Amino acid sequence: MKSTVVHLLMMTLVLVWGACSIVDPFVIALDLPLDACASINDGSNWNETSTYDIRDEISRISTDYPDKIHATRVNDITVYMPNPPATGTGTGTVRFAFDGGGLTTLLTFTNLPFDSLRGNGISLRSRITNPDQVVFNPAALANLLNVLQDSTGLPHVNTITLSSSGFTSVNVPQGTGICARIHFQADAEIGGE
Amino acid sequence: MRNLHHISGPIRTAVLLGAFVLLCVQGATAQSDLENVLKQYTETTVKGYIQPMADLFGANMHSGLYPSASVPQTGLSIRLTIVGMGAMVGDDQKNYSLALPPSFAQRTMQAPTVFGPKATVVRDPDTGLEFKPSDGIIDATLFPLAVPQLTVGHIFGTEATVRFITTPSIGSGKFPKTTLWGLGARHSVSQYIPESPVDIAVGFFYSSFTVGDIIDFSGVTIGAQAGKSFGPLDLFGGFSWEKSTMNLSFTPSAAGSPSVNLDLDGENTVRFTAGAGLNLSVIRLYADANFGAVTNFSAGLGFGF
Repeated sequence: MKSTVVHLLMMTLVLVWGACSIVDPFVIALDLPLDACASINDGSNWNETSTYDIRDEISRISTDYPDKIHATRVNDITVYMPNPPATGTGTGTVRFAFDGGGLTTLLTFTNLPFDSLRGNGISLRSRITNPDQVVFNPAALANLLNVLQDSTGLPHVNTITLSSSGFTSVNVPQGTGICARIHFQADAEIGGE
Repeated sequence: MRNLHHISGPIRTAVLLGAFVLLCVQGATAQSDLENVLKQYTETTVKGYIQPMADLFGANMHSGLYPSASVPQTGLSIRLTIVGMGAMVGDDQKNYSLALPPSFAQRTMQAPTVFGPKATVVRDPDTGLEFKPSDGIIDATLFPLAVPQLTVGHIFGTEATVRFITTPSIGSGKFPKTTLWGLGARHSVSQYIPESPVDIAVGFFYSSFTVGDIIDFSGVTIGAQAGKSFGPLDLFGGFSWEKSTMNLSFTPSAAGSPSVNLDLDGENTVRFTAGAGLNLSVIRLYADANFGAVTNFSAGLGFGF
């Protein structure tokens, strides 16, 4: 009787565990922001260029992941000031290039109040909501999305260069900066071997 | 397996069950890829993904603590029990509302939690942008936990219980090391009531569970039990207050993102327990159902005297 009871309990445990498993494969959507962050400390001009190797950015999370990417995408393009002064405006340009090629203008913004660069700042939607002050280059945007939104694996480029330059209407205090960001995602498929 | 044949039946069964529990716990708990998933979120967005685990694990931690309401007044007793628990995963714990990036006209999407399904891509028709959250990682209708526990008594109607299990990192770092421990005590109240028709006890238990480097659970429960024995059959019920907290502490993988240090409280704060046990001399079996904000079940197989 005891062994019967024990076996029944073991079967119950097996059934309980059968109701739970690790999904295989599963996808981690890697968050890979590509920034060009400039300091405009005690001044009114900025100019910053950053180059990213896409595989290196993925490797920062795990060196196993670059070979497991099966899709990439862009979920936003933003320009923001982490700690904007209370008053003033900014005027600037964001450019990009792939694999060391010539920079192409992606967007320009004109006389944007610092307040509108607070938080998430301006985004791609701003070309719809604020077309007078935020202008995207349609051809450059289409090219950017076409290259970085790949449903088959890593993009067919190795590096992306992002450049941000411009000026403010007033001299800004120490610690003021401005960032352009491409919100890039890559799907790493885990398991399934 | 053949090497175990010379060991007596109950002990061999205990060894097999112990190995089984170790394997299952490794398969059921978080892993380093889970940690990497969490690191894709911020303090604002990670809560929805992981909260169901805080709720269900918190409820499991406080289950299966006793096989009856009886706590003898005196006499040496040592019992090793393998306890298995499972919390029901509700449909509402498989998805949550996740805010989409600012450029999306659609403000939110239904994203999978850690127990959720495969994630889908959302495309904004105005901008051509796309967004996708991570998939759920655990496919479960019942979220399990198992742990060996040792109960020692009895002095002045009091017994002490400890739980401990640690599992190494396995699968080339896919599963991080996990460590669970807990301790508590129960005290007989019915010993002070000579005419009491039922056994009554009160107790408390503290638990801690660490998963890898970024997830720490802790919890405490205080409760009372009442029950009656009919020969080898024990029937019991209980009521308890409990609190469990999952602490997440990590730096998101996105450069420049602020560190996350977040406490998520488990949903269960009170529970009613109904259970039954069989006291078969050396072997003791019990099972119970627990009702509160989270419904869960537990069962134990104990060996001892």
